[in-house]
Amino acid sequence: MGSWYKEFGEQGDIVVSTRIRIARNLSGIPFPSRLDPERLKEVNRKVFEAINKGNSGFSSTLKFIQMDEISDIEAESLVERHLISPGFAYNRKGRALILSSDETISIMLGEEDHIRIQLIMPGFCLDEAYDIANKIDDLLSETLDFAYDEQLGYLTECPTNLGTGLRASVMLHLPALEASMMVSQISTSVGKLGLTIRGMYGEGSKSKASLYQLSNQVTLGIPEKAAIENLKVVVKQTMAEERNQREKISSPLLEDSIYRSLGILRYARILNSEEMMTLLSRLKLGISMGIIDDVDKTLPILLMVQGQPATLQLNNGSMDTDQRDRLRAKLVREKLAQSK
Amino acid sequence: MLCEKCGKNQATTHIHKVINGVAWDMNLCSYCAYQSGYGDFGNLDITNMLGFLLNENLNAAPRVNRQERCSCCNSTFADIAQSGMVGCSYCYKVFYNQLLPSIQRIHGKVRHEGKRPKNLKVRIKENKNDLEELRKQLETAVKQEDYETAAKLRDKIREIEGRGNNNG
Repeated sequence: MGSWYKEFGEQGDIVVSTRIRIARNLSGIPFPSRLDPERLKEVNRKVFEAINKGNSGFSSTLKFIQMDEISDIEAESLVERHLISPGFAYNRKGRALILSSDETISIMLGEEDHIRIQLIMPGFCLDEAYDIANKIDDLLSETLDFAYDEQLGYLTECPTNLGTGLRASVMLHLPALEASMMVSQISTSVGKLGLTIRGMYGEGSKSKASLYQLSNQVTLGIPEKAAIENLKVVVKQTMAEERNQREKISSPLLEDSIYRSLGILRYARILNSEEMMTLLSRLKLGISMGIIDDVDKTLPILLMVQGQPATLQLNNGSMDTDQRDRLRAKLVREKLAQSK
Repeated sequence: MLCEKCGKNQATTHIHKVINGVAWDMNLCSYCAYQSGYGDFGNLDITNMLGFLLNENLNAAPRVNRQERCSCCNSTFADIAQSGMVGCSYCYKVFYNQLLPSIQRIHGKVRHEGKRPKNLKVRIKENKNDLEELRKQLETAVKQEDYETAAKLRDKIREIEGRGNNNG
């Protein structure tokens, strides 16, 4: 399986990606924020050695990236591709990233915790992603001594991650539920199951492109498999609701709005990223509802990522906002033309 | 982004108000948000609340020795309460009683269920070896009537034994 934004996975009309994150720390060593960069680098090297020791088959595809050796644009682009957290890109001193060539495995070293194993894959694939993350965790624990307590489980810098250290999440495209003002209702009901839903791109603020992240919040006192099962059930329910609402909001007006969006995307000469996101979101909905049938279904999400400011510059060199808006429009036009 | 009120901490709470059709936006850190009365959202991210959950424990427990430091990372409980972040894994032992109420409030439970590290069996064996050594030392301390050392050793033995029992 490849990058989450390049491929269309299981239930890809609604579930854009699945992410598993496991937090681990080494016993007897202060957490990263209390380590100086040199000491942090030592810890990171130890982890990388541990992953290379086992003959798991992972190591051949994994690359070690010293974060303070890459440029701002490269770091920002990693954030845009959801491979690292914004905080990890902002302060890169002493931090390192282990990244697989297909961009599914990204292990942050020296983030909030010593080790953050992350799996991100296209579509709805919680079990598959967890299996791989779990194997990496097993491999590391063969040589590393993890901070663990029989009562509190795996010990983490932030007490919200204590226990399993597991955060499982899925990114959902919910334009119909959003239009029907139903996302906040879901938010209230999932809270009771130890889950949370939030808008992507900006915590607390309204979601851009109707993308939402649904994840488990409670990590202590609930086994990994149970947390994942809870999440699965809620994702399935949310998908059913979204499909139901899509039928309800279907109208000539919606069809018109989707075609207008495609029109702008096909012909615009200047596109800022916010407008692009909104239009691509509508295009994605149009493809999923069968209204648009001559555009590759992977394209909306691919362009949402490739059209982000840093990723755009990563592939085409540094440029100002106006240049970016023109290049973004060109990229979208060309990809849509090829896709016909 | 830094908090627009104190200018010191990372802003984690975005406040959007509409009064008579006029929108008003502000980005605050968890502490300032709480101080300004935005601490009780139904949908607020749990991590934002951590700092003041811990602070509450600090204030509510006058018996807490504020000078006590973790021997591994040198943090005091006040450091932890201020940042909302624990210093190292050993802090969970040192400040266990102060941390527990917050952990209970965050997760609703205080006992881990789920995976354990693969190499844990080796560590339990090491604990057993430690125990034998500690018991010998305890015996010697009692013989020499060094009760202060004996008490410390007894606590340590209990701690390891406690861990061992939970492992079963």
